Amino acid sequence: MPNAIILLVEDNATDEKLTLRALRNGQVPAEVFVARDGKEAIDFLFGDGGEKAPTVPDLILLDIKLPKVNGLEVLEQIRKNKDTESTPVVMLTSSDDMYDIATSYRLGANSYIRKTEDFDQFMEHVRLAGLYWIVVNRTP
Amino acid sequence: MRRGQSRLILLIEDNVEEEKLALKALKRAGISAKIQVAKDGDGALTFLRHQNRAVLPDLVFISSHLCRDGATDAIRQIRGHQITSRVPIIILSSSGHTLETERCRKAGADGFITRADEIDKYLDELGIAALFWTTANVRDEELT
Repeated sequence: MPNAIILLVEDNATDEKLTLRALRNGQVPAEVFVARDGKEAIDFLFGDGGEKAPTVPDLILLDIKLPKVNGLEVLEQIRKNKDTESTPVVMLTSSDDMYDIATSYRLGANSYIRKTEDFDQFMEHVRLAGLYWIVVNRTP
Repeated sequence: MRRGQSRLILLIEDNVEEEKLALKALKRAGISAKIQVAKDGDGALTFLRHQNRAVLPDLVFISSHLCRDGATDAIRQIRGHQITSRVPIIILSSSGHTLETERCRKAGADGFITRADEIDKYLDELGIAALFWTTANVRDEELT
């Protein structure tokens, strides 16, 4: 699937770099776009009313604690929109708050990955998420 | 990952050769989760009814042809129960998108893996799915 698109919504430069590296090293066949806050993500997905046209990615990796619009609000908008209501959304966050986990699932996240401080584990989890949702998962 | 709780994969498969193939894929991927095999939908439901809440499956694989024989009820019941309503259910299909696959999907399955093409690809994909759901994904702990 060479034309697959992943939207990574991440405001931390180090986490962005590591995630991109994990996807690249894991040979996840997708082009990755990065939004650095919630508003950028919404503009990417739904257009900004100006030059930016809406884009529906094949996978959204979404942090929770984001500037301007937080990840849970972004998720809510993704599920409310007809074009993105079934787009796979994986929460990729350092939060292990029960509220964040429960709310993410209640709002329609497909999966929740906790960023660990274990570098190898983080890289492996991102690789698996990319391969699973881009290569393996097929909706009948 | 659920803290302090064991991981479990439920494989619903009545064909011995297909079961062997799936178990080979899980072994090849180095899956450490416990694997429970049920021969049909009734067997799966009996197993689930007797499980402790803390050791419910992280992932269910179901053979597509079982959806021809009533296993759709098992999928509906897994989906209909609060504790297992979000457990990923993946159809294992020997021939891609068939009528049986469609029946499984309508009953509430999430996706499918087919071995219509290459066997190695099938084993790899099954392994990636199992690894992703049993090592990377954090379940909603409120429900467990």
